[in-house]
Amino acid sequence: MGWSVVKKTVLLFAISVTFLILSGLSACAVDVYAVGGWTFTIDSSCLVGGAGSNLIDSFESKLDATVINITGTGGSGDAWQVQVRKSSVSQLHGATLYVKRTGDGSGSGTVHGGSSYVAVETSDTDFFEGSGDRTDITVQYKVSGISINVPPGTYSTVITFTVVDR
Amino acid sequence: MKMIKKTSALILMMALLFGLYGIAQAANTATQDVSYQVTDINAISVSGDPETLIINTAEAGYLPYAATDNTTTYSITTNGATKKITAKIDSDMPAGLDLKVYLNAPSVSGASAGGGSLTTAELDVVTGISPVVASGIAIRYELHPVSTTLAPTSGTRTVTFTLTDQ
Repeated sequence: MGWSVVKKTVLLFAISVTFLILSGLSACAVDVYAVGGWTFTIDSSCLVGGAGSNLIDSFESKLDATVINITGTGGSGDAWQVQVRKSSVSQLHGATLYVKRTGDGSGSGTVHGGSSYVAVETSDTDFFEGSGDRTDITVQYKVSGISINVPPGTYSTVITFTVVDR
Repeated sequence: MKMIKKTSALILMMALLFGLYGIAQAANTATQDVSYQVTDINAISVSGDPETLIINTAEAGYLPYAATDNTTTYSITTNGATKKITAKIDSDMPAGLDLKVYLNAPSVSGASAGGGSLTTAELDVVTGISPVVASGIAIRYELHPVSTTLAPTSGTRTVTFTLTDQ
């Protein structure tokens, strides 16, 4: 009886490890890392022309507000896609958030798409794609639609970048 | 009893498996925060200085006529919920003269307080202002003689309008 239990345990363990390894080699192979973010302040200096004028139409971050790295690919031919979304409980008070890729980064693979602003929704939206490992892909943000009717306060959302191995 | 042990082992293994799989999956996303702060925006400006108010006509038996000016306007932008505009002068008027000011309210927000005599103390001139962007709103000045003993004189006063919490 003892030998049978040991054999079954070893078998289960082997199956588990195999499944885990296969998982790592397929869907979980590519990783995305992001550093940065964006915080800005809206005050009287943001009026188009001082008293009697509205706030400027949109606010843009610096070109490299966020830097993204794509690693762990299976090589320069391993294609991937980055999607973006914001938290479903976004607290931007009606403002629209956009994101665009401002740099290709570097690495053995390629990167393309996403060089025009993409509106960030609460569901995943295609952002840019490429292949192979790429580092230092720079990202810029834009927020528009903030009116004088937005009361004083702090508003924020969490942006999630998801890399999908293709 | 044997079946229970097998089942327990299987459940433990699957739990371990899914736990590790979950950790591996988490690496496929990265998050960033985007936030903005809206501060109190209270901007007010005037179009310029009024014409010199000159009292130089009278009807026999009466005090001289008041001098009036309505050549100036003000502009305002605020995101406050309950604001008012106050007015004051930098030094009191000489005896026998009364300088009054009247401000119209923005068409969509607030109410004129009806104007009044300017002193070095704050005078409410528009109240109940909510978020608004408006320009070209009328200001009227009136210089009234209030004493028969008024001697010829001249002077300049600086009028300060303040947009503040009500």
